[in-house]
Amino acid sequence: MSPSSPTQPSELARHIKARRTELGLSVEALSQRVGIDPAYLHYFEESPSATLSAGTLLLVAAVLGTSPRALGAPEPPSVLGNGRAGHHPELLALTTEQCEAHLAAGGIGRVVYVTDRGPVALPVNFEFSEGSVVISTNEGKAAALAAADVVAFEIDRVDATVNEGWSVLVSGRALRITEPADRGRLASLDLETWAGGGHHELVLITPTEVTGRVIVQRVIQEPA
Amino acid sequence: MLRTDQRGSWILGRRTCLGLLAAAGADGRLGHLAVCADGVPHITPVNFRAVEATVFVRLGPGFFSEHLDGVTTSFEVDHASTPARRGWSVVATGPARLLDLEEVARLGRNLPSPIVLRPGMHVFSITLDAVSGRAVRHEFTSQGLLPTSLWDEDWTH
Repeated sequence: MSPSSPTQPSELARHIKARRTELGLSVEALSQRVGIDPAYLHYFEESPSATLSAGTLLLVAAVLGTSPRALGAPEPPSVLGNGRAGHHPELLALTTEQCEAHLAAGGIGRVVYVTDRGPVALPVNFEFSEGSVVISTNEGKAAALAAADVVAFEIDRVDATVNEGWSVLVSGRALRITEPADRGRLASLDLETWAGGGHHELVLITPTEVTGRVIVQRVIQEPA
Repeated sequence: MLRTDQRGSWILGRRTCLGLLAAAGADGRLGHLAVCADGVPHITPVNFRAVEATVFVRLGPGFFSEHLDGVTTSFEVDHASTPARRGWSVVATGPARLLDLEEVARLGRNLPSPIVLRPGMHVFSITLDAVSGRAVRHEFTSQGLLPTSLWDEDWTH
């Protein structure tokens, strides 16, 4: 039984608006800080049913100096480690073909290289082309990656609600793409551009090792 | 006060970053832990808990468990909404330390719950010295055909 009628803003929307107002932030200021359309935030704050994605909600809460739970968001359906009764998660190895199939989907991964001060892990958009991982980065990072003997690259997807998922690890040499012909060929990939502007260097990671793991739920049959 | 980097991404302040880590960890989101061993970088997905500027991870026996104590690590969490082309990331660095049983017992509900529980798990703390974060918004994505790093900025302040 919801305390609000169907035409009232949702509890979450009311809490966000109240906290935003308390901090003296306009709708425009908050939406700028979390990277959403101000028109949508206006709509959300008045709507009984509009939603924010889980990731956006995390950012909204953090910008407002609070937590999703304190804003009235429900608990996530399940927390990792609290598996369903009778289901026992296990880790299994993925085959190279399965790893490459996950890589082929592209998306967001993390690349790691070593500096004097330790490792650096960075999120990057990537594509998988002709057996190599293609990323784009700025001049300095491209130079650091190419100078490294070996770099690591990781992708994963885990669904916390069912405790299932996979991860793929790649290690290999990073190579800057400088030839215009290569740049042109790789630019024709369907690569998403996140933060536009500026000059970007393409970096190709040629794998020397690709490994992957999958979490599977083994169902234990309970005696009847 | 609201700063952008040269790519047009919003720079998230330290407090916002730590708030994101705390909430994301409690939600069961994955973080990514990177270490360097013999000059070679390694990374693994982990679930975690964050309290203020400390991240707690629990690891089973294996490479990371053996190489984490006392070394500098890089810890990363990101979220991206692909159709809308926006999201955020936090990248932090700091030393990891193996916790003793008393320290683990004091963690209580801040003890991370790994997806796959195995015997012989160890709990480590990571003290976040340098923390930086970015939020990327969709208005800045219209230029260029080349891929760009999502949040490709200096991780130090």
